[in-house]
Amino acid sequence: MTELICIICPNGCRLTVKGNGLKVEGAKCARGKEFARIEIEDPRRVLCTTVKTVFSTHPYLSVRTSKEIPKDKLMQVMKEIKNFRLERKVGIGEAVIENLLGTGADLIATEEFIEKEVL
Amino acid sequence: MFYDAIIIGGGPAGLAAALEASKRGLAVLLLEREDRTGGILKQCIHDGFGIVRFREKLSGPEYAHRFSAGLEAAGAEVRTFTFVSDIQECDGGFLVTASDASGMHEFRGRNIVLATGCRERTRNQILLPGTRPAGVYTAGTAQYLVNRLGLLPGKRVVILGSGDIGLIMARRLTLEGAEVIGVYEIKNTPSGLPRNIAQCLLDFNIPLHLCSTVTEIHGKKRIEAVTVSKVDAAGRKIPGTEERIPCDALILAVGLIPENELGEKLGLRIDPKTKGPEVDQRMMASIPGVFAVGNSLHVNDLVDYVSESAEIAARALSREYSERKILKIDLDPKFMYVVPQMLDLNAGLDELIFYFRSNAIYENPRLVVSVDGVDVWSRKYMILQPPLMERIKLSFGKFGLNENSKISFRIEVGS
Ligand SMILES: Cc1cc2nc3c(=O)[nH]c(=O)nc-3n(C[C@H](O)[C@H](O)[C@H](O)COP(=O)(O)OP(=O)(O)OC[C@H]3O[C@@H](n4cnc5c(N)ncnc54)[C@H](O)[C@@H]3O)c2cc1C
Ligand code: SF4
Repeated sequence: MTELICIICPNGCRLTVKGNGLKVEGAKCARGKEFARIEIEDPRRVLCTTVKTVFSTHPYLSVRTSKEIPKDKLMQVMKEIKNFRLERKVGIGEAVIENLLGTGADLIATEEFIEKEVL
Repeated sequence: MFYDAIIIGGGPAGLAAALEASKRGLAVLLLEREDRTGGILKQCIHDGFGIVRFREKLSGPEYAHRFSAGLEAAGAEVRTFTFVSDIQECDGGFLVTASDASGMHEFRGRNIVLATGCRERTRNQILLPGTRPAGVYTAGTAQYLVNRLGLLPGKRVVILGSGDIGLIMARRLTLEGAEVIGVYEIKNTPSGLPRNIAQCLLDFNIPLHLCSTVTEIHGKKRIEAVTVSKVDAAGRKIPGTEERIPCDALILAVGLIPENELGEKLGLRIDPKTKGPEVDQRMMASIPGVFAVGNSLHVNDLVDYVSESAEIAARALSREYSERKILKIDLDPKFMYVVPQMLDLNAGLDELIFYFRSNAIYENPRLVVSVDGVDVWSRKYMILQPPLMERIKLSFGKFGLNENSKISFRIEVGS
C-alpha cells in the first residue's frame, strides 16, 4: 500500500494505492486515479525556474517546461539550464531551449521581456 | 476627467477589475506603484495558477498576462510607477492623491476599487528573540531575490512557518542548489496546501517539523545558527528540547495580512478576523462606492478567486447607488471568517458568492445556512481546514428578507 497526495488540483486528496496502482482510494475525481497510476510507475513534474539573459533590463527570465518531465531528472535539467544564457528576446510561450536533455519537453518563456528601463 | 472607477493596485485583482469594468464601457484608471502590472505574481514563477479558472496550470506571470494583455485595448488607462498616498471623499465621488516621477497628481472618480494586495508578517510581528544579524528574510523577499535578481539568500537555510510561500521557496532554493535543513511550524498542522507539502517538501526529502519553532537567532553580523525548540499545545516552548542548528539564512513564512492603510485612513470598517474591510455581496465596503477585492479584502490561497472577487465588484460598479439596507450575517465560532460579512437587501440577492475558512480542522462536517431559524441550505464536506478556503454560491431572493431577518451560518460536526 502506498499513500500519496494528489497534486493535480488544490483539493489535495489523500490517496491510498493498493496492488500496483490498480486500486486507488480517496480520490474525489478520475484525474486523481490517473495521477496515482502515473505517480507510481513514472513520477513526473513540471519544472519552473529562471534563465539568465544578456539583457540588463531583464537579467532573469521566468521559464517552465512545456510538459512534465521525469522527477529524477529535475536536478540534472537545472544544471543544464544554469549553464545556459539567453541571447535573444523571446515572447511569452516561445521555446528558449528545445527538447531539454532529450525529455521531449521544451523550456518555454512564461513572461514578456521588459522593454523599458527600470527607474 | 472624472473616472467611473479608480482602481488602486495592478495585481491580479486590480487587473481583473479593470478589464471587466472597461469591457462594460466604464472609464477606468488603474494605478500601480511598480514598473509593471502583475503584482506579486511577477515573482511567483512556479506553476499552479489558474487551475480553477482556465483548467491549466500556469505560472504567476502567465496568469497575469492573460489579463494585462487585453487591458489597454479594452480602453483602460494604466499608470505605472504611480504610488497612491491618499483617498478622500469629495463632491460626487473620491479624490485620489498619487505621486510619480513627475510629482504629485490628483485624480477624481465616482468609485474606488482597493486592490492593494497583502503584506507579509515580519520578525517583529512574531516577536522573535535573539540578535539582529543579516540573513533573515521574509519568504516574499527571498522569492524576489531568487526569481528576479538571481541571488541566493543562503546555502544552508532554515524556514520558519509552513505557509505556501515558504513551501514554494523550500523547493525553489533546493533546485537552485541550497540545502534546506527543515521547515519548522509552531502549530500541529501545516498552514500551506497539502499539494505544496507533497510537491515542495516530500519530493525533495525536506523535513517538516510540527509543534516546533525558532526560539533564538545567533550571529553578530551574519546569522550563524538558530535554536529550535518543541512547543506544547499552548505554543510555549518545552524546556530541554532546544537544538542548535547552524545555518546562513532564516526565511520567515509566517503569514500574510491584507494591506489596508488607505482604506483605514478613509474610515472603512475593518473585519478583525480578515483584517480587510467588511463588504456586502458586491464587495462594497462600509462607504458606498468603495470596493475591496483580492488579497486586500482577505488573504486568498488561490489567485482564481482573487480575480473572481474583482469581477464581482466590477460588475456592480455604477454611477449611482440606491440607499443601502444592511443585514449582517451571523457566524458560529467554528468559522475563521466568511466574506462577504453582510448583505445589502436593496442589491441583488441571488447567486451570491461566499468565501470562508474554518478555524480548525473538522472531519466530515456539514455547513448549514439558516434564515430566521429555519435551515435552508446545507452541504457535507469530507474535511474543512484553515489552509483551504472554500467557496459556495447561495441565493436569498426567495426568502423575502428584511432588516429584522436573521441569516446564520454554522458548521455541524459529529452526526
Ligand atoms: C510574497 C507573496 C508571495 C505569494 N506567493 C503566492 C503563490 O506562490 N501562490 C499563490 O497562489 N498565491 C501567492 N501569494 C498570494 C497572492 O498574493 C495572491 O494570489 C494574488 O497575487 C493576490 O492578488 P492581489 O491583486 O490582491 O494582490 P497583489 O498581487 O499583491 O497586487 C497588489 C498590487 O497593488 C500595488 N499597490 C499596493 N499599494 C499601492 C499603492 N498605495 N499605490 C499603488 N499601487 C499599490 C502593488 O504594487 C501590487 O502590484 C503570494 C503573496 C505574497 C505576498
Ligand atoms: S483527486 Fe481530483 S479532486 Fe482530488 S486533488 Fe486530485 S484532481 Fe483534485
